[in-house]
Amino acid sequence: MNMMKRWNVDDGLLPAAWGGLNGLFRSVFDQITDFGPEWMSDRAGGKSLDLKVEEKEIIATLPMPGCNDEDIEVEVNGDILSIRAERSEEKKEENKETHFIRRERSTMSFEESVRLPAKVKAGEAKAKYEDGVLTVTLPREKAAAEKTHVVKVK
Amino acid sequence: MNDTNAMEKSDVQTMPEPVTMVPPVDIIEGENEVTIVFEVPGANSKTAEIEVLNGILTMTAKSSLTRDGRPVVFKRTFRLADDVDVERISAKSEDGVLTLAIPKAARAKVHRIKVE
Repeated sequence: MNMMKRWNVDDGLLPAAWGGLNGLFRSVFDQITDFGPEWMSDRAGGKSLDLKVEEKEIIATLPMPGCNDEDIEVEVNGDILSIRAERSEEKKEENKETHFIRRERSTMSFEESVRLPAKVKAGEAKAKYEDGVLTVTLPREKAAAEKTHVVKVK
Repeated sequence: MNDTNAMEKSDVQTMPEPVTMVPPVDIIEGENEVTIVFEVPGANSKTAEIEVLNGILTMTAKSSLTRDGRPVVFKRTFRLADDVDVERISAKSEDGVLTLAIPKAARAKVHRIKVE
């Protein structure tokens, strides 16, 4: 999911934050960060799931800052890995008094799924959430790794 | 022995250059302070740094994430107005979200005057 798409969802908030109409923003903060192409094309770290296939395991990494361990659901169904999470902040930001000068962070829930490139032992999968990054370690099935057939060219 | 040490050191230096990324932020204005919320997955209080120099606030945070084998560093800079109390800026970090509270200086606070 890219940044532009996420913004569209929050459309109503955009003009004030982006168009510089907001006098308060100008008076308190004058942003001098350069908006590099990297920022526009890819949400920093918010890009989709990263899969690392190693000899004995597959390691999936997904940056998902601001979640609670309890709100994260990891599921392996056949060769599909699915990750779902609610943003913990979503609930507490109902306060109408909150005045956003700038709003770039998404408040949407995370939902990602990916087809795993190798067979895994789903029952032995481990997941860890640390500093806003979810890491899922999926041990590979041995058989798959050993079953390399060498086909001779005659 | 000395030679091996020197080689090890040079190995460390050939680590791939970090990729600098601009983290998304929310900036929220309250009555007495302005809050900046940075999204910095893979970084924590030990790897994040806030610096204010001549009214320029810079947030730098090393992340455990990598991109094409290169470590990710989040960095974003803001110019602060004179109306903020730099001495009392506080920061906390949780689950890859860094929250900075910047108190407004007394003169920037809204004074409500009651019409009688």
